[in-house]
Amino acid sequence: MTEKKEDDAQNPTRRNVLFKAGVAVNAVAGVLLAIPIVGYIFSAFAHPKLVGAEAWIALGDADSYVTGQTRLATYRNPFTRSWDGATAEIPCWVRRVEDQKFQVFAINCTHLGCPVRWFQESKLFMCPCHGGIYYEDGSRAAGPPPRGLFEYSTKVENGTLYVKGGILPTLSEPLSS
Amino acid sequence: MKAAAFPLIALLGLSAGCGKPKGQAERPQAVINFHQLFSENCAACHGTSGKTGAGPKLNDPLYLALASREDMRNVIENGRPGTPMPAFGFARGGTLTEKQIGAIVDGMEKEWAKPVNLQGATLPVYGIAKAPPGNARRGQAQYMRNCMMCHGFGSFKGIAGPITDPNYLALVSNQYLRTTAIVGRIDWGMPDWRHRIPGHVMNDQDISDVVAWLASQRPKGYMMAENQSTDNSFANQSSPDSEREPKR
Amino acid sequence: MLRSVYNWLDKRLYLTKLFRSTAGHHVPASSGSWFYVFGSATLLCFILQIITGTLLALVYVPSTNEAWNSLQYLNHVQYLGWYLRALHNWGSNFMVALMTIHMVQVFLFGAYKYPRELTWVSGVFLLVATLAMAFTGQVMRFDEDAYWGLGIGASITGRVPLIGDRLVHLLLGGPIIAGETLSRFFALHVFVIPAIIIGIVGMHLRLVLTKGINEYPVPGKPVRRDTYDGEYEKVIEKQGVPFVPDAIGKDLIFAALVLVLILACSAIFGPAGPSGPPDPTRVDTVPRPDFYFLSVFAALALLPDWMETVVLFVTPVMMVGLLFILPFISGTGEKSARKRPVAVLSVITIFLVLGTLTYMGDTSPWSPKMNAWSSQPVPVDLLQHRTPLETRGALVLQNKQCRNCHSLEGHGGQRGPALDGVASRLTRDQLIRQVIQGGGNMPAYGKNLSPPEVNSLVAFMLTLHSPSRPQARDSAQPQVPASKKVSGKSQ
Repeated sequence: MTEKKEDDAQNPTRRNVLFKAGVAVNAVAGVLLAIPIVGYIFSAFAHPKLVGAEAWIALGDADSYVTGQTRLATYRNPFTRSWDGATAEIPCWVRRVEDQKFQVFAINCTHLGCPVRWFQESKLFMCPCHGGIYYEDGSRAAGPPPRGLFEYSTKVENGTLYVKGGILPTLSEPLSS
Repeated sequence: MKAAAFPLIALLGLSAGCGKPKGQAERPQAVINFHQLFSENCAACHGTSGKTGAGPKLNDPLYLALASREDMRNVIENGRPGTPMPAFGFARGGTLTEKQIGAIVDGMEKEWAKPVNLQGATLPVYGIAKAPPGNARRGQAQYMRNCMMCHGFGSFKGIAGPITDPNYLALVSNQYLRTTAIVGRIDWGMPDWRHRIPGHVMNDQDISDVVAWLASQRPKGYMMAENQSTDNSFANQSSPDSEREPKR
Repeated sequence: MLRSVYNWLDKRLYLTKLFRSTAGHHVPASSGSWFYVFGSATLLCFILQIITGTLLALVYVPSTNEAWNSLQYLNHVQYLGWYLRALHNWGSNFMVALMTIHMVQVFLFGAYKYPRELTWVSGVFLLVATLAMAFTGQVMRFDEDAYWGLGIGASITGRVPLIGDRLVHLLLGGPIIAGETLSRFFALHVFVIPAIIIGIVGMHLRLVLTKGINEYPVPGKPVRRDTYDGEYEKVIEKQGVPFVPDAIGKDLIFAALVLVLILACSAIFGPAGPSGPPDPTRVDTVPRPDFYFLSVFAALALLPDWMETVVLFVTPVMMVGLLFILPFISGTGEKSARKRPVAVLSVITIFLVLGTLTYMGDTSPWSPKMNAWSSQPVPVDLLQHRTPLETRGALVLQNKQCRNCHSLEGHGGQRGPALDGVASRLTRDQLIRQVIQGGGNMPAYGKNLSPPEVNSLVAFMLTLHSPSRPQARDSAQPQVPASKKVSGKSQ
């Protein structure tokens, strides 16, 4: 053993080769390690639809909404974990335009996502953050929002109102219509 | 000296715990304090503490003697369609629970109601549904006798301004006209039903007649809801009372 | 006895050697100044944050279902839990404040110039990391403001072109703000960013040792790359003193003062929040960010929407980038602020802008006051001697939420112009047009008001003028009585 060590010490080339090989082997191992780590962190890029597919969500009896009126409804997000708590309860504004025609708006202001509030007297949605204002039909009335409210697609089946949702709508990912 | 004062302040503060949080944030539906509820929801139109506002004066013993708790509860919950009084009941798209509406009604009765000396007169009926039906033709005569001096007629405007203005009548309910005809508006100098003309007290029929005449002056198409049943309360809508409490 | 123990340890740990090369290293005597105490005070705050943060983590539950409840437990049940929360909160306030002062001092004293460029660059990294701690810390206080703050963060991220949607999922750890969102912000706040800060602080301090502390700048003695190192060596030789114990005195006194101030503020003002629970169905919330981000919040309200996205992403990169390259574009020359008017002016400008934006963010005049319509009475004096129609108009004004954006006698929203004296500015026809068509950031109310409502509302607004300023009139109409013409002209 000692003889060999001395050998190594006296042979710098051999030591150098071992060092280089060691670095190279670790580089390979590092890449192998990096693959699952990066894949884990950036799973949103690899499988965006695994976590964010939208689904039809029941919003209760269609007749609990009065024609010509708008009111708040809430649903439990279809993609939840048991520890989500209240954050999985998502509110939305339901407007019954006509008997079979509904408009359901996301709560989030299109400017920066703050919760818009409905005022039935003036028939306006107002945002408490930067003063975005929308009309009854969700179109932009005033303020900084770049577009009207995000709107869910809706359907009525067997007297129940359904909306298609499951994501936090943003400008780059509005609700699919 | 100064440096020594700081630890002292810190210790004092700590022992007093003045920075210690008092209560935890409440859900707005959990507020049942009458004064808070009134100032957040009612004061804008009915005035601070119900005293003087653009809407009916609620801090008025005569009004509180006239309207029953049930009447008031009903108005707060369902509003007066067509008038600026919105529905506050949760089921009607408002923000208040039944319990909160009850707290407001109880608070008004407890804080503002006082025994009223009727001076021998009898209190007229409050609700238009229970009042005797009015006659518009007789009502005009009653108007001329009791109201015209202040509210004018035709080109005569009167010091209090016309109430025959069609724009005005389109925005007031018959119930509002009746209530105001009875209790007056003492903060603005409008006398109640006993004190319009010396020695004359308007009776139930007189009041119904005046209201009927004013209603006949109203432009067509307004205040239609009042004559229909106002009981089209929404079905299947839970109030937040029964809804999820904050989970813990 | 003690001496022999020390000697035993010293033989193994080389303590004396370590001391001489670190705490005992020689610094210019001129650096023993009250201006040089802010860096060490910032470090003290950071250490305090590690201690209090670890203690809070003993109780805090990083789960969306439980976080808010565990904060309530800390505030109300856990003995002195509220005080520890307050210490962590005030420690962070002081850390951000002291770090800012430290940075301004370093900038104004030219300490970032040759050969200390890397010290400055690592400091800029620390600035970014500390602000990241402030934002993630606000999320740890998982209340309604934290929830909607995350919503704002997601909405900003969603404006990134092409990959915005995926970045939002990456940020939130899922399609909505929920369980995984808090977990990943917890990991960032407690593991990732503190580790980064510790690493960079180590480098920052190492650089202070290798490149020396900046001597007190003297006007008229510019830095030159070829001569500075020699000059500095001479300064150390001539008037160098060991940092400990000769120059650290002021640092120690200031550190104790900061510590006592944090203790006092925590005791007197207590912890921040939590406000209401993070329940998105509570829509009657008015989200506001913490103090440090109010300026950004304000800028987002004031920017025109066509440039918003560009400004959102370009400005921060430009500003931080400018800080990074600062020592490379002005690495030599005068150090003293007396000879650097541009530097002084830029500091003043930056803080005026930040201060103004923060003040505006705090008052948020652009936000409708969501409860003004039902809580702010029409001032009593505006109701005296009004006709029944005008009084009804006042009710319509309240009922249609006009007060959420328009104030009367200072009460109500500031989004639109105050309505006091509006009748002196607009004629009846102009008022009707404005109400019905809107315009200038006001929605059109045409569909939502009946003709009697418009008429009564306008009748009331026409009473809103002071006796000394008559009602506005239509200049196309002939002026009515000849006797009043003079007063009409002076209008």
